Amino acid sequence: MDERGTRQGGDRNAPRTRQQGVGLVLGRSLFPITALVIVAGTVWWGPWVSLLFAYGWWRVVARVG
Amino acid sequence: MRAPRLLSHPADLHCLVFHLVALLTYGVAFWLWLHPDAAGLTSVGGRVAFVLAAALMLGWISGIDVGVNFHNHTHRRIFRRAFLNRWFGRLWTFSGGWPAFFWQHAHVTVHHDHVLGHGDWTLPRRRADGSWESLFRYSVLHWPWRYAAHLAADFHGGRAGPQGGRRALRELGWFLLFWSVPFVIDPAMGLVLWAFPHWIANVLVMGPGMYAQHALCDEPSRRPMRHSNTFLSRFFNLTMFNIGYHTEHHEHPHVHWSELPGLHERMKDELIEHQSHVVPFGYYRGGQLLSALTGPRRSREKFAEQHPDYVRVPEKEPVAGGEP
Repeated sequence: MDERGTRQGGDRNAPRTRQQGVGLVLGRSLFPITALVIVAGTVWWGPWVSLLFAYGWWRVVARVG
Repeated sequence: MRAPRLLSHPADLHCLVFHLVALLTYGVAFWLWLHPDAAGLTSVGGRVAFVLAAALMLGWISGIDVGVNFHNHTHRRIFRRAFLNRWFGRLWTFSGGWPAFFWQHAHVTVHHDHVLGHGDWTLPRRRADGSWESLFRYSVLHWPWRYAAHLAADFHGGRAGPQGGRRALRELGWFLLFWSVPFVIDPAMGLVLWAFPHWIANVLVMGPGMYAQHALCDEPSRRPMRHSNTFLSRFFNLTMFNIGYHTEHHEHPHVHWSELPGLHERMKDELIEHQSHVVPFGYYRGGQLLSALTGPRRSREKFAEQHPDYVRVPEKEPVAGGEP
């Protein structure tokens, strides 16, 4: 097994202790949490606004990702 | 961050949270479908809007959950116990339309061991002139049609090992058991909020992702480190478990996903030396460029442009008759 780089490797994106919570929400799990908010939010703002948010999120990510 | 004893690597907590939130989102969508009064889903138009919004979001996160998140698990198991790895794997890929063992075989045994070679049937097919089929054709045909045919041949022919066929049947049984649950609860719900998102996950998310990862590349035996594209968008790599460092990943598939940025820095000179293709954007922008209907040639050229920081500067020729 090639393990090159695994021991000394520093991760610029890895969450530090104090950033752990923020990192989970706004980092790696940003996509499922956004999906959860858009789907669950239908209760408050209705299905058409959810569809608008889903489309808007897609457009934003297509630009920056 | 202290590593919980459960996990192999502390950063794998992200993998766990991602998948659990994805399952929770499916649960919320199902609940709203089954309780239409709660969210005003009483009209046909309202239901259609909800299905489109929910299916897009569910399919999108399922594509990432299997194609990126579970993908990491196939290379480096996230739990320390084999039992947990086996069962969490089964309950991981079923929400993306895959039995875990099938995806693992396709990715590790077929794709990684034969990347861009004749044995790698996971990638787009080549035309007579050697170029790839279009992204649209590949995405629509690869899942489940081509995968099913190739997997059946592999499991029947022993490519997955002597017990591969039996194991495949067992895993298919577990998959069908779990995958059928939403259909048992409500067949219409199963179709629009379960099967439809899985189609989106595979055809609109994972297909274009696979295409972008290796588009315009060469077999490793012909040009080392030109087998994959490396995508450097910070937003993309932050939210996609560093999957953009794809050349590095194929060169060293057992390096943990959280350590790929560090590996990339150490490999930078090597990448430049071998003229490995590096771009400043992510898969989303890459997919757009590779599937552009207006000005497709210009868009492909844009995709093929090398990141300015990764251009090899040719060594200067010694000047004849110059000073010693």
